Amino acid sequence: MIGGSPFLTLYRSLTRHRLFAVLNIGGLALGIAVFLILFLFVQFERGYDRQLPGWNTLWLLQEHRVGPGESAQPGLFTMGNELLQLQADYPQLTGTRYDSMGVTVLQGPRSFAEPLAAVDTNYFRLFPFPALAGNPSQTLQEPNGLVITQRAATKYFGDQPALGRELTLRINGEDYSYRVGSVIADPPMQTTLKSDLYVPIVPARFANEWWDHWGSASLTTLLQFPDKSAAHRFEAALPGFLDRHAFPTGNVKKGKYYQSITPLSALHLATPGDRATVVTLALMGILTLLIAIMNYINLATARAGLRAPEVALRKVFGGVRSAIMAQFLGEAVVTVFVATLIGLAFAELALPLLNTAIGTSLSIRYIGAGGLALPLIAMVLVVGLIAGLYPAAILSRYRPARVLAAARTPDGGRNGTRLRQALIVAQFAIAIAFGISTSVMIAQVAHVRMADPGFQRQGLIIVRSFFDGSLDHAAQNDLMRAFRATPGVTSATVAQNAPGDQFTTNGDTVWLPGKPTVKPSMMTVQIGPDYFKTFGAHRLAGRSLDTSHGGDDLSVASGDRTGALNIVVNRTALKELGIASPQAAIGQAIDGTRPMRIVGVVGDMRFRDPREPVGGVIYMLDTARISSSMATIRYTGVDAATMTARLEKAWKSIAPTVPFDAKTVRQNLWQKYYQQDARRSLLFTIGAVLAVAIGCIGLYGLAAFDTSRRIREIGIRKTLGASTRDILRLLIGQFLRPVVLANLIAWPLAYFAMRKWLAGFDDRIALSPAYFLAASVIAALIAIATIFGQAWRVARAEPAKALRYE
Amino acid sequence: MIHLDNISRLFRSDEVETTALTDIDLTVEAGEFVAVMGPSGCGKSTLLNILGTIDRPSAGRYLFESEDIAKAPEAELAKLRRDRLGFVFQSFNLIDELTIGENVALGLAYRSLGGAEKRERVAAAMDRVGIAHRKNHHPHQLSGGQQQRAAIARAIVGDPKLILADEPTGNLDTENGTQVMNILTELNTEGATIVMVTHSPAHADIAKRTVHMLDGRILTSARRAA
Repeated sequence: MIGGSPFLTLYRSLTRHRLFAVLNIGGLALGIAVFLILFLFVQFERGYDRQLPGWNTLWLLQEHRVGPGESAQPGLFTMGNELLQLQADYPQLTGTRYDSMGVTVLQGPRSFAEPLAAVDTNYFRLFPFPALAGNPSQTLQEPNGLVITQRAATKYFGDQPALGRELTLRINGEDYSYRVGSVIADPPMQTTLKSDLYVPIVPARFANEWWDHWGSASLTTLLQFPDKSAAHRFEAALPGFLDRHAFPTGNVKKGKYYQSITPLSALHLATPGDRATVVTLALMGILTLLIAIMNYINLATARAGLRAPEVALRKVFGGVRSAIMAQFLGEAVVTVFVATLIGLAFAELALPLLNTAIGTSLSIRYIGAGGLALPLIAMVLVVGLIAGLYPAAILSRYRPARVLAAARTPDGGRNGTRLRQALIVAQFAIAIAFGISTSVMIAQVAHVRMADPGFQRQGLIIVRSFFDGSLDHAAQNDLMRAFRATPGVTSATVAQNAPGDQFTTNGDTVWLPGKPTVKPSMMTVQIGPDYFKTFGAHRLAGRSLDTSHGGDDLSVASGDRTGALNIVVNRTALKELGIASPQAAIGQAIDGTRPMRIVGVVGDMRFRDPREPVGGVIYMLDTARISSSMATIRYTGVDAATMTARLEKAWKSIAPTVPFDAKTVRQNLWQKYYQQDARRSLLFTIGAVLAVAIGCIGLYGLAAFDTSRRIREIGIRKTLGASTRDILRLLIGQFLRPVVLANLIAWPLAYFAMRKWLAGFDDRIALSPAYFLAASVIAALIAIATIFGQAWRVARAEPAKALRYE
Repeated sequence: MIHLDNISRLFRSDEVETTALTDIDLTVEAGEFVAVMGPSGCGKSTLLNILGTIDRPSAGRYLFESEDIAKAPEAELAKLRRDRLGFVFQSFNLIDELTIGENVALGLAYRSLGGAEKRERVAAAMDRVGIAHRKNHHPHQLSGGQQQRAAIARAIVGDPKLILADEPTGNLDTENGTQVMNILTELNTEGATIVMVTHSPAHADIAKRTVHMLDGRILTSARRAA
């Protein structure tokens, strides 16, 4: 063996101690697989809007509003015509606009609800999606030119050529005939601004009364700069531009409104919560790999003694320390290489399942741009050297005479033991911190799904197609009557908002008469009859709004702006206005764009992202046609699918050419706000479970090693009267000590990490000690289960046999 | 004190069955000092292990103070070893990671005694064998003779009725061997019952009775003339 090939020596060493080989390589492979998958996920999340040439030249214009009731997050939409005003001041400025809306596509007797993007004619020069047919930029020069994706071409025209074919688009209630002038490739999954249908912005079709109104949020304005410094120079000029154009209109106020630009590639992870989650997952990948490396070092140093005679003989026959170090470093690199291959296999097997579970398209690309082959080779070398350095140093330091004369194999001495203990502490500290974090994340995700949102989530269906522009007031009234008459429907309402859909409301700055110093900005929501009843809102004081009370109906009161309009407000509105209690609010006058009087107070209803605070809301009854409104139906006695089918039947009897689009509230909230957190929590859970598993593999290996080394000691102790229970207590106690110690590191780590993560949610759980205790107890139980088998085996051994062991 | 009746011990592996002891009948009275002699592999150590309850006979009865313990549960045997037996091994069997003081204290580790009493008894036992000054050293820092005296201190710290010594001088030079034998003789004089395996006729002569073994059987059992 001594003179043989180093690889043969390694192979024999591994196969001779199969358990250690499996634990060592398996643990490392698992760690590498977790690292790879999380690396791919983080790369995926960070890779949004980076596929097209020139992606790093594109910036987004965003709005900031300052003041009570305003979101800390910038608004991503601007006034419709701002780009034109900017270009008038800065003629060299390149930019384009993206206006997304829902339209109905009519094709013969068929109709489909589709999202449409109205864009400037230069859009495809800034977003050069590959053209499969025709020229997208030229197509947009035509007012009726239509660019469609491959997916849309297949949907509408099957195998037939799409170029030159016509589709009718119903936009804001008007039908327009568009001709397909180009087919582009489907945008990559990691594209934020994407649509299957693109048409040029024609102001007559898309501009509304807010198009030139500063402070309105109509569309996305994108700007192009050759480099970062040019972008920042432009950003520095924005305050002057607003001084010249925005503030003189009086619609937005200096000091309460400003604009900035942000790279388009930053849009996907724009919120601090999203960024924190992705950073946490990246950290988790690195730490899991670190746990696996620690495992390797731990088991390798523990096993080093088994190779001591070989090292001694190599030295006796002239081997120098550097050569021996090189041999063991080489072995580590080869072992890591094997583990990497196995880890890659694990990752390849897991990826399809993971992609299905979390809705991604992660894949490992080995060669080409962004290929992982070279980084993986670098990782093998780095991890191999890190993992092998200490064991190699220990092994190469053995003195031949002492090793050959000793009755027992060396074990690295007290320093070796301390190092192994320290590594176990570190591993379990990370694993326990993961455990705590995972339980907090799962609890928070469950909380936002289960917590009282201020309305009854069950038994609600939102009919989103209600906002289709082609439905006039009479048709909407017919539909509402038909819905109310549908068996199972207990209530129906129409409003500018619904849970998960709240983008068509407006804001107003309001104050109490005589108290103009407190002027919070609040959202105003136009609602139809039965709004609060349909949602099951908690009424805190006063009454609801209905047409039997004079001054309740905006459509009646709108002509007379001097008379006070009766309104209902939510609890947060009281807080922002400084009104002491719901009862005290009843009858209270409020000033804003018109005089108002509070006649009712309801609890806060969380219709949007659980991360965002619920602001102050003013509800106004409007029995006229509410623009961009949705219908919400409360039902009972049947399942959602049956009710949806019944509502669709009622819909088709009145509006057969408008595609029916309905979702349950649960679906709508889940898709918009909860799904992403749930997916990330799932990923975090998988990572945490595997990290704990890797830690346990290490603990098991060490327990196996240590107990086998201590068989003689156990024999002595039993000879001196120790019972099986005494031995179990001794061994388990000693192995649990580092696990218990790990809590001292894990608890503060997890506390600060989770406090930061939870801070991203407005509606959040308390960071209870129960999560910490539970994770620690579970870690201790897993550790006990891991080492119990080994401890039981040696504790039960006959002392005489144990004493003969060495 | 001890009565072995028809004791046998077989060792079985997958392919081989080895008989270590066959039909052993032996009685040891309280206060005796018995030397067990015989060639290597004759079953001396196996006999001692069975006497010390750290191995179980395959057949036969083992009466310890009139109680048959051949098939007693493990917990009961642990209690017997803890309270009434002391062991001295040829290879000392000290635990390297513990100091000499801690090794000696191991003899009391599983008894419910107060800390002060334990410390007192450990100090007395170490003093008795002349290694009190080595209390804080580790085994590898001591000579073979000192290590064996530490092992004897550990064996006697619990004040056992029976001391079992397996070639206690086997790894020692003459001078240290003599010291160890003097200690054992003193202990016997003070009332301890001792069963000692030895290859040394000179040390066997110190015992009051010598049992000769061959091929797992007792050939002779002869008392020394007073």
